[in-house]
Amino acid sequence: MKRYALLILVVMLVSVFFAKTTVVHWMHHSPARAEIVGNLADEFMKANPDIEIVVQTIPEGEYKTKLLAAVAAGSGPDVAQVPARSMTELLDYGIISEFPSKVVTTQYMKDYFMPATIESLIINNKLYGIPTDVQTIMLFYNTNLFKAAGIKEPPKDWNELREDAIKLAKWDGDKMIQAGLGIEGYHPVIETFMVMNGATFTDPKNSNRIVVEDAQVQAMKFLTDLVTKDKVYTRKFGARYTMFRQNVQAMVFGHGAMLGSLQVGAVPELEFKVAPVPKNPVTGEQKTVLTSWALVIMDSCRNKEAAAKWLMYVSSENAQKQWIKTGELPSLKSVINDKEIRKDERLAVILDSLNYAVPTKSKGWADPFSKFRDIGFNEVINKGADPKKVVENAVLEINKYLAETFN
Amino acid sequence: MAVRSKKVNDTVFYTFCYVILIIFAIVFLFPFIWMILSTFKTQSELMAFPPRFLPRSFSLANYKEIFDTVPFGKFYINSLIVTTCAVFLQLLTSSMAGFAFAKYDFRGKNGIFKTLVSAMMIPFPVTIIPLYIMVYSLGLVDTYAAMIVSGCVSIFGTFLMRQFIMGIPNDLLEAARIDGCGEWMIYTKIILPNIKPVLSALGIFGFMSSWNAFLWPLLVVNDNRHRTVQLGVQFFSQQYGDLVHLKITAAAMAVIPIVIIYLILQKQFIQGITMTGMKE
Amino acid sequence: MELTKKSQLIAIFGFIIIVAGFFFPVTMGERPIFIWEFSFLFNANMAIVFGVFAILTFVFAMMRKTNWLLSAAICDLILVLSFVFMLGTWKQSVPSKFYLHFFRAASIGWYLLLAGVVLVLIVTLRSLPKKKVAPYLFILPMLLGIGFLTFFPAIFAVYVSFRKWNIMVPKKPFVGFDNYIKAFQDKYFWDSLLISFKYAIVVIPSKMILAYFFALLIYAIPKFKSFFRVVYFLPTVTSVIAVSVIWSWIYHPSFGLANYILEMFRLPTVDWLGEPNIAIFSVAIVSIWKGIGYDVIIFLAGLNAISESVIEASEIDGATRWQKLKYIITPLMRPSLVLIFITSTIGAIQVFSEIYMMTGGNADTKTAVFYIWEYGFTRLNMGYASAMSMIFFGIILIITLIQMRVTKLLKEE
Repeated sequence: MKRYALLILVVMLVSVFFAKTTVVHWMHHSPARAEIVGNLADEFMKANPDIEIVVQTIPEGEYKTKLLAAVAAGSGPDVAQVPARSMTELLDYGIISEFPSKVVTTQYMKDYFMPATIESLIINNKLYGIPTDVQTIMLFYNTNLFKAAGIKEPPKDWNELREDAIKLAKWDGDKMIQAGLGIEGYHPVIETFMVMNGATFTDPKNSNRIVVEDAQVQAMKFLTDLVTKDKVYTRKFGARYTMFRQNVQAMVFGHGAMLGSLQVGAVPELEFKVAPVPKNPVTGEQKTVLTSWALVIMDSCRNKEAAAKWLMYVSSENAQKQWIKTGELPSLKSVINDKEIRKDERLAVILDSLNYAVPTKSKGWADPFSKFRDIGFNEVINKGADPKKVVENAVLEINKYLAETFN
Repeated sequence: MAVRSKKVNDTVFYTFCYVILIIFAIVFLFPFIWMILSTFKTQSELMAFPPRFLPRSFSLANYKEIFDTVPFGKFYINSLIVTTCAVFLQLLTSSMAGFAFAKYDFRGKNGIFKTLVSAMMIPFPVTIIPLYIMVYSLGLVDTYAAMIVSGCVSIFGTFLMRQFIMGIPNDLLEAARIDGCGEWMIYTKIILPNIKPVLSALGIFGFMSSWNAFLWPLLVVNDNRHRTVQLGVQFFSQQYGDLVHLKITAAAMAVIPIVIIYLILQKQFIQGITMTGMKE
Repeated sequence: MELTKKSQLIAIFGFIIIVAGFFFPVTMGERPIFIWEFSFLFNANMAIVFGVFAILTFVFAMMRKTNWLLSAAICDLILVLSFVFMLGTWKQSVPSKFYLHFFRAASIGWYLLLAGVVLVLIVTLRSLPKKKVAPYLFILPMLLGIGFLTFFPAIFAVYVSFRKWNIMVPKKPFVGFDNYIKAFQDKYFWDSLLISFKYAIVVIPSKMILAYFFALLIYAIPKFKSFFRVVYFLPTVTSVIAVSVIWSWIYHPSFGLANYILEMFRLPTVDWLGEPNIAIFSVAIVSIWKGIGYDVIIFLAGLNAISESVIEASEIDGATRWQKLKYIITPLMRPSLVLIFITSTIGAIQVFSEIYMMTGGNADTKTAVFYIWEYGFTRLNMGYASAMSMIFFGIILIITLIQMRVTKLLKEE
């Protein structure tokens, strides 16, 4: 009898030892990405038979609510994809965990990954996330329309941008028939111009506040003037990406990922290239705002080492080369400088942007800098408000949010 | 002379009525026809301008792709489970309560009745946040229970039952009591068989609102194991642009079952709405 | 009514079972917890509180006072169920965050208490006259449901509105009227209310008048009535999701039917869901389209209920169609019209799903409910969202009361 019990005990202990570790991975849904992650999971599980990866995708609109609710309820995943701007917020809530240094160190990240991509992921010198879905703002331009207007090169600085856009915009009386530059106030674009103008947003006295700077106002004014005064675009003409696809709009700002997306549903005659964002004409400053998501390990994860191993695999060199197909920028220096990949001219320009990229200062999952569009840009365009006032108002609202969320 | 002009009058009038009704019938039907036709089109066909009316071919590719991407079959089953349970509970609680209000006199009857009336006034924006907090504190997030519980009572239904049951002659109940029937037996053997029309009317109405429910399931469901059909549509909205062909097809798939049931049980549906709408 | 001897014995047996429950652990798991380790309100020891009520139960059973026994038994039941909510204590048996996980930890002690109480309860109820007890039992499930779904949340909402409540943060400090003061000063909240009203002002009269018009037409025609009824009601049967998806597609600025039709007539195209001044009305059109069938059916029912004789009498008097409508039909339809008016208003002001699905709150379509939702679930500030929802509730209440007053006045004319 005793022997039997001992045997059972041994079997139980041994099976616990050999029990598979499960790592549940949540990401927001997109068929292309789901496929890649699924393949990576299969490969990883073959190489690591004692770890099981369960991938669950959530529709994007509900993602945040679901993730936070699940975590609050204790039924959250082990690893999740979260916007990089929300890292400090989540850390405040105590729900994300440091990466075990046995698997990866901050020094390793600094050595092999592009600095701009990991800046927001290293907090108090500890690593909390791996970059994914990295995006920068680029300028897409229609080569045929440029040729027709006799412009040889894409604009190098803001003044050229303005001149080219004005030249390329065509009106038939009251109706726009060709847009020079489609711009609807996407806030990373606004932030890019503000940063190039020298804005830092930082309040030296309080890290949870931002300040109004003249640089921001001037940048906002420049962008809104393009629409209100220079008439290079009007919303009535059509949505900016749609019109670009229809070959009736010469330029548009967008994420690198738009490279693929702009070709879907586009007219066959569309031919376009990518250029870096135009420099500041006075200071020569060239910067672009980088936004990204991060793969984080939740605090409730039981086997953090297995989770870290999996996440490193998802962002390994091999994996990043696959991610490029979906438009995501790589974050490893080796991939960015890979000759094979750089053979694609347009992709090379986009990859280069990582050299002058700065991470966004918008902190918090609700993306407060979107106020620069919602009550900033839009108010100027739709209601003729004064750029200075709207920037001040936007900063006010952003600070309200920051105070609510971080304290 | 007078008779003939009345006839002409009538014909003109009726023609006028029919023309308008037919025009608007098209207005009401057309979006659905457009939706069904669109489910057979590919993404590039949908993005054509000017829009084509008929699809190039009636291919089921979109449907197949949806089943390949998400377990839509499971979603149907989930919707069915939640709806059936919710409707059953609704009918049970409403008829029981309606019976009590109709055929019994008890202390607090009027007070409780008035309380139920006032409960209807409380709008959902007020209750949705606390209800969510309550449900997750109980540990019911991502369970069938959470979805069923939100649709399991209907105050409207209670009023309706009460109305109907008041019409059942008291003699029937008294006779049963004399025969030694307990109260529960009176409920099952006398009341229930006599309120079949209301039961079916309320049942249909409840089925409709439960199948179409979106807001609450959106909050409480995380997992594909519990996702209902209406939530399945959301999978095809994405970061860089919706997959329109799939989104429309998924929406159609969410709607087709109930439309079919509706067309088969038309009379009962309309009867149900009429009854639930006509309150004292 | 007096307890029979048999019932009394059973009640006392129940009491003994309850007492037995005191000696076994209430919850088991990592460590057994006994009844005296739980505290009830104001830190009163559960063993004492429960003990007091248990003794009362025994006393009333001995005295054969059925009514008092019933009250005691109900109190016992409440106490037994309250263990579920004493998470702080039983967490030591089975660590968890959720109340219902209590049942993973519950052990012999608790089940004995429950069994004893239930026994006493059943035997007491059976001793009371059936006709008196039955109605309460019949309405119990419904009351529990409504209490859980409506009343308790509403009270809880008030509680939440006085605190800073973020589900991610364990501390939820009391902040007094801060949330309410903030709401009254929040420009965007009042903007959202304005948008809700703009929307309602368009939807309510249009839906009512059009529905009444269609109902009259269907009522008047001699044949195919049921065909039109079925067709007009079809949009109402379908879900908001499906309707929003297809109408978003129809409204698409580049590929949608709506703009195609405009172009056919050489009119300028419109950004239906993106243009700030138009978007809310585009959504309103969809709402009207979807909801009109319901009103038509209700009106038809009302019209069909008008007795033939009244109509015939007016025809004999030589009334024209228009006169019939104005002087006979419409006055008789007042109850339906009032009903639809009030329910439409309440529904229209609370619009959310259509906005969520079609515009996501952009282009000046953030209605009040959307704003509240956003604050509660995106900005995770549920305290503030609850406070706003209370204010919103107040506004709806006032509007409904005014409506009822006004329509009553019209009735008495």
